[in-house]
Amino acid sequence: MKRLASVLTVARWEFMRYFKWKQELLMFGILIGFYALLGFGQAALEIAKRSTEHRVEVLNLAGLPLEFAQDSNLKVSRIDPGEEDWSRRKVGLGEIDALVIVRSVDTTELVAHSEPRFMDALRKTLDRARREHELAAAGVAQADFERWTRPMTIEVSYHEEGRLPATRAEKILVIVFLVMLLSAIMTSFAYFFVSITSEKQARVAEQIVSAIPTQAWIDGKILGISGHGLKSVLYIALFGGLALLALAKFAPALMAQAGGISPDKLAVGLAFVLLGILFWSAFMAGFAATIDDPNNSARSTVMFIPMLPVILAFPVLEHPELGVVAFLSWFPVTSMAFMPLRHALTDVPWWEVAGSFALLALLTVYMRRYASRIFRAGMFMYGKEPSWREMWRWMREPDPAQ
Amino acid sequence: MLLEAEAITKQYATVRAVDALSFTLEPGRIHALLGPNGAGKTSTVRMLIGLTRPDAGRIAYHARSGVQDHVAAGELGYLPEERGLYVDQPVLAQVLYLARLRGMTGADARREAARWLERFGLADRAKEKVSALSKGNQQKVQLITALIHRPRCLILDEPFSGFDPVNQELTLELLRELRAEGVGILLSAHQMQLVERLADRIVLMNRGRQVMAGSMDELRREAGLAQRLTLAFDEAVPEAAFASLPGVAAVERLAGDRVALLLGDGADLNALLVGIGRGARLQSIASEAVGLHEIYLRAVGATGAAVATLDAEVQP
Repeated sequence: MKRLASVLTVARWEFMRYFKWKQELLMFGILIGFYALLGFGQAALEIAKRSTEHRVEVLNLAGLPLEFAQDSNLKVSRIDPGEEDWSRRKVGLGEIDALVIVRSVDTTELVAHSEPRFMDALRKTLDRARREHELAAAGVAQADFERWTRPMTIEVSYHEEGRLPATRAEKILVIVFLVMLLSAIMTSFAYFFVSITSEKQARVAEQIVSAIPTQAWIDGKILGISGHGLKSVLYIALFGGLALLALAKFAPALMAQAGGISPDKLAVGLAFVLLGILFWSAFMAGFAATIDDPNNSARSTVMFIPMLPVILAFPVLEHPELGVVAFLSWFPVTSMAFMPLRHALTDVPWWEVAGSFALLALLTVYMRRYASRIFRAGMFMYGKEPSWREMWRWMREPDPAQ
Repeated sequence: MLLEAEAITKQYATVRAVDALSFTLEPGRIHALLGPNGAGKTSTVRMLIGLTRPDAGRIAYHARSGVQDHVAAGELGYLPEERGLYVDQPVLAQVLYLARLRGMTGADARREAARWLERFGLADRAKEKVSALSKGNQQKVQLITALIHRPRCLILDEPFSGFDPVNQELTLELLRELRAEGVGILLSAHQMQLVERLADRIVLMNRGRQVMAGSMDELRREAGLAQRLTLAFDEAVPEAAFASLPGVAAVERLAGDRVALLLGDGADLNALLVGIGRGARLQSIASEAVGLHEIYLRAVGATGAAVATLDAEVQP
């Protein structure tokens, strides 16, 4: 059987072993339902907020020029000083939400029946009235005051040889890449662990290795199980798309920025994410074969190493120009997270992107080769786990059947 | 010639698992590798199928495409010592997967899977998970995965394991059919009587080395054993009473007041019967050709006590 056909047969088998249509559709349905509920909940909350009226009585002892907005949910009634006690009783009975007593220019007393959810509107009105009062007392025209307190306009322009700062949409894009990578690695991690340790316990290795080269087996595994990682990337893209549709309605400015993201930033990010998934899949495939009992092995924690580059990338999102970020965007173990970050947020010469990608691709090729050697030996070691020295020896021994 | 192993040796850290072992396998022949645990059978098989390489010696497999240093994957049918199936997967899916890995097309694999599952009485269980099958039925699935792609060379480690006597006979019949079709079969099994009935040539191994090799007749001659006489008396008779009789190579005490005499080639039965008649009253006497079991135990150096114990276990 041709090597490629073997790889594809294994990849299909490994993918379908854990792909259950019913479960996928159920999960899809649950997520859609979750989104629908979230949207419905937000809409319901908004409607509830708009339709709730707060009945407030105001006793203006300071004589401030209070003007409440007509379209506000705050329904205000003015009272005289003789009505204060009665108004307080009404608050106690819950007939009104609050009594506001403006005692002086500086002090207002609020007597509420429950937590006042109209504080913002009330404060705005009181502050405006107080300012108008003070301006009038000082003989300053309102228009003059507004002109004096208007913020200075700063006109920003960038030199044609400089670089534009990253937009919010570009930062969000980087976060999406990192989440995709993390999600794919965690998903693949779980499936590799289950797949390989169960195969080891079921003793299927001899059967397979007598039929195809170990390298073809592990390559197929990497492709098939990475497929589940890619599936999670696809789901993120799908539901991210849904979120964008929702965002288009509420944040048109952000959407406009998103529309300005250059396709090469998308392409570079996705390319690094995909290659990164393959790189770490190869690592996990080889290492999982050395674990004898997944329930008791201390080595299981090593399987979390692939998550580190992604976790390290989050704190430097605001400082993509740092030298250490440049180094990590070249270093093959971290470049799958740091190069998309740098490329999306700063200007990176094309040769740096190409060089980093080539280095990662080269290391992925070697990783799958060494993983295959460890895998071949590890799959036939039962009842104990190899020492680090043994693993190093295996890495240097070529497969006799290759 | 299908397969040649010439003085192959495998050395692990402190153990020489296989020591200058040589044998051949021709198409349409069944050869058996026998030996106690640790004799080197599995190490030998792993070298033959290319999982490991001999440290010394040479393996030559005459594939359709030319000579290779291990059995070509597409021409190999392999039943490993450690049974391995994906127990959480359906029977048919698993058979098809392994058939595809052996190079079959999807259509061929489906057709052959249907045929073999029907033959082994598993057609109606094709969609069930392997874990739902009995041990014997799992063994049938394992055997199907070794045969489905019509291999030229079949290597079977314990093919009768897990089978009841009826299925053991069916497997025996199947292997004879495959031999008649020209398949070269190398097997290892602990069911000596079945091996004796099936194998054209037997290689006895101990501690990595070949101890004896040949057909049953050749093994008997080489072992110096021809017949086994089982005698029953009306009272216990000491073994020493028979040891000095002419032609007796070994004496085994059996359960009750029975004794088995292993006779060398060309033993004088007349003189022997006279000697036996001088002792206690004989109740019955049975004669049969010496079996592989006796030859095996003597070849691997078992003690008389061990012989008696194992005899009671294997032939109650």
